[in-house]
Amino acid sequence: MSAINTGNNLIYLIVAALLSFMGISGFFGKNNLSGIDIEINFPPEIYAKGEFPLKITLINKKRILPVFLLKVNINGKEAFFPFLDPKSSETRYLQVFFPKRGRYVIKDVYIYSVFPFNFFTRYRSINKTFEFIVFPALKECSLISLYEKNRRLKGDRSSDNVGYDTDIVSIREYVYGDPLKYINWKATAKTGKLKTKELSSLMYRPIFIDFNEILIRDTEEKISSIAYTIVKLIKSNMPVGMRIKDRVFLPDVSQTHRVNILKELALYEGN
Amino acid sequence: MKAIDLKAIKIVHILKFFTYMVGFISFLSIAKYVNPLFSLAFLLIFSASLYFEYKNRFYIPRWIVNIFSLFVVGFTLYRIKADEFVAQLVEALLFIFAVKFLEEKKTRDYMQIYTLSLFLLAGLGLMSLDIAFSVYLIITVMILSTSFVILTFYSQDPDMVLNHKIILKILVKSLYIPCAAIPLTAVMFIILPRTQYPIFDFLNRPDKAKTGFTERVRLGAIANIQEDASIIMRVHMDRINDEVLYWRGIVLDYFDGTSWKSSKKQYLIQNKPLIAQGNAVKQVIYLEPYENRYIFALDKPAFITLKGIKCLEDLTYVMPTSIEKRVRYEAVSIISNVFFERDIDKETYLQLPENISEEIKNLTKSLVRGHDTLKNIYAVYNFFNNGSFKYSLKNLPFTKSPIDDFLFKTRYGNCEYFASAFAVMLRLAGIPSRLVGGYRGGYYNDMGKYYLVPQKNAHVWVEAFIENKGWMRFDPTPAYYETFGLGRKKDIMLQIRLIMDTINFYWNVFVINYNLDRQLSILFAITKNIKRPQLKFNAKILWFIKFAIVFICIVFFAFLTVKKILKTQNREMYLLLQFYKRLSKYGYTKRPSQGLEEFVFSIKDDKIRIKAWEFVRQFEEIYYSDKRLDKLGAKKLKEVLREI
Repeated sequence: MSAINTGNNLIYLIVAALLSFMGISGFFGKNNLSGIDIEINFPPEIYAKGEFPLKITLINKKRILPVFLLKVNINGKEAFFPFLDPKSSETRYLQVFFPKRGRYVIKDVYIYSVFPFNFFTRYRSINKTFEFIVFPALKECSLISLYEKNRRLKGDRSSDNVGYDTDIVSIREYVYGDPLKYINWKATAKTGKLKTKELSSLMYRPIFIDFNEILIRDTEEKISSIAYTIVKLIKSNMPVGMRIKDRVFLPDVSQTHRVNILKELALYEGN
Repeated sequence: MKAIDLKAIKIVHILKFFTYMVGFISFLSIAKYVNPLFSLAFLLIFSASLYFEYKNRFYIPRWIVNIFSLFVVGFTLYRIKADEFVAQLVEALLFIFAVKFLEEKKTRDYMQIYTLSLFLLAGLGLMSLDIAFSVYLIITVMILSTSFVILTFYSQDPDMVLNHKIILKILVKSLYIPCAAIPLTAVMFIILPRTQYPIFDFLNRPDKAKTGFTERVRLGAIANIQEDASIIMRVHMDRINDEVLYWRGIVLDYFDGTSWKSSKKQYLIQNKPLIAQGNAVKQVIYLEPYENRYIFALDKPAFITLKGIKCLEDLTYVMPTSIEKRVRYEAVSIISNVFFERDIDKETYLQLPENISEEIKNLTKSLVRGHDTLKNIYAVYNFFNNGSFKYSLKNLPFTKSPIDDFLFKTRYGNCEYFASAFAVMLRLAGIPSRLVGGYRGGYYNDMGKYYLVPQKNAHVWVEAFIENKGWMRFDPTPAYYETFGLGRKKDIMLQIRLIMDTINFYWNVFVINYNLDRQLSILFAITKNIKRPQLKFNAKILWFIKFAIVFICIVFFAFLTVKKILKTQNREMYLLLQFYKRLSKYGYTKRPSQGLEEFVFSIKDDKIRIKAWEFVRQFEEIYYSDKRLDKLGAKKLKEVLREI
């Protein structure tokens, strides 16, 4: 410390300025990381072995000071926010890759910054956990053709829903816009009013997949294949059910049904 | 997707702008103190690098820059001299600083530039004690901190591009840091530990010594001092009568016909106090460096507090070495024109040069009659003040017999001629006498409460010895107050100069002369003040205080409760919470998944269930009917609640 040795008060002034700078920068650095909240939003369906965007929202709750040069680290990936006004928020997307299916918990969300001076990096962990489920990877397979074949053998089944397929379900008053070919002329003649036939719609025969009966030795491959099959079938509006361990999912084509089955597969643990 | 932002600015441009600002400010601060050749070299290299930066994007390769810098360091070491050590070091630093701008800059290069600028500022602090330092310090701190913040941005991503609005915000907000740091710096400055014995004191360049009194005064040779308006000292004290403002410095007792000098004297024996009658005046004196070791104080200085100071038998004070730095000392003087001394070495004070002319002897004889010493002195004194002699600083008789020429030819001269002639004539009359050199008068600065004493107020007067009375001060020089002032009071320039001088004065008082002693005195003052006050209350007041504390606590808890209730926002929620609370006393707590009715049905105790059901029914009736719960309804519900 030259200041102490030379006894020159002006050198003391410089040293005092440097020391107070260190103190103040410490305060500003600490303040930079405080009053911050982080939200992470996940896409509704994440499949293993694919890249998905995580939506990261940084919220600056401070009243006066902005956030400078903040990096958010989520499982080793970084999102960078150069500047954020006080009382505002900003969003970044992080492409994240999940190699495996299952339940994921993000605990280690770190924020860090080199602000104000590039001397050292200050860290803080955000006390928040984010939970989400990664569905199994979809693996193309021939299972689907097997079920298809099976279904064809059984034939379609007429449902109670109104459609345009085979049997007449009822006859009703003509409504403007009904195709001409569906007008029941016989009934029209009888009543003197235009009548339209209502036909039943055909429904695919439901497919039921029994997890235990599928003979693919590798569990992961098996799960992926089944997931693929189910997604594919539901997409083409074929009701699919599944039995896995003791749980039974009755055949359905709804979105929630699909998500429930995929969740079950994602969390499946062999024996 | 980002639209192309026309007002987007590359962060690197901002960084370069601020870095070049740092460079230029640093140069400005020390330009005055370095060799003009170095200044020129700096400006050339600096502008060349600016040109390269923005026109060609051309940079000198690093290895060339490094070799160049090494060469400069070697050259500096080669020519280094102890007395100009700091200046030469700063010159070398300035050169390396300039060269640094030439190369392609990465984060660490910017850091090096900023560090060098701090070193240059430290160099300025070692070379100058001027208040300008504080201005440069503040400017440098401001720009450096902004540059550091920008550099931090740059270090994160050198290609960063930001909207101009955001950049403006960053610049403004980063100014908060120096704004907070500057007051803290003042505190730090006060509390930083000091040592009493600085080790590397030699680094402090001695201030430029002013010419001043020497131990030998050649008549007519030092008149140029009396045209020097620079300040020799500032004296912090109350205003006193102008007529007694004699700043005593040196005593000259040996005259060889053309010049006066001070003969060897003994240090005053300690047990010989000053005997003089008059008011004691305390002064705090800030003496600028000058070429001699005599210390000035108001005439008849009783004592001066300064480490190493010695008092001589002729009541002058000396330091072991000449005054190379501004010194601060305190003095107490007795305002009197006479001080008692019993025995003096009469031979010394009656000494005369051999070639004294008959004319002077005759003149003296004609003036001095009788044996009354005081009367004789006044006779000679009046001879000089009868109007035939004039005060002048020009065309002084600079000859081999200056006193004769002054007395009989020119009849004008400055104080030296008057005092010399007076003293010589007194000695011829057998009255021991001597010359006292110092300063006369001064301009009182009302703002700062101190006297400004300029060099041109240098003055010589005479002390004559009178038996049983001691040494008495006589000033034969005609009164010329005008020359002692700084000019007219109304002059605006003078007013500005005075304001600047006041600022400078306090800069010196509070910053430059701050030391361990003052640090300790501040510490003591603080500890004295924070001593715990003695609290003594009579019983009544004590009871009142206790009551007040309890009351405040009650109010506080009431406030908390009300806040909690307000938090529940409305009466419905409040009642419901009361309901849960009451039931939980019986051991029934509602799970979050349970509906209200579901919860009531799960209560096993019939009595409680019936009452609870009553409450829930009434509650739901109101709650689901989109009506606000009025006071009456709330009262009813409360009654039901109480019965549970």
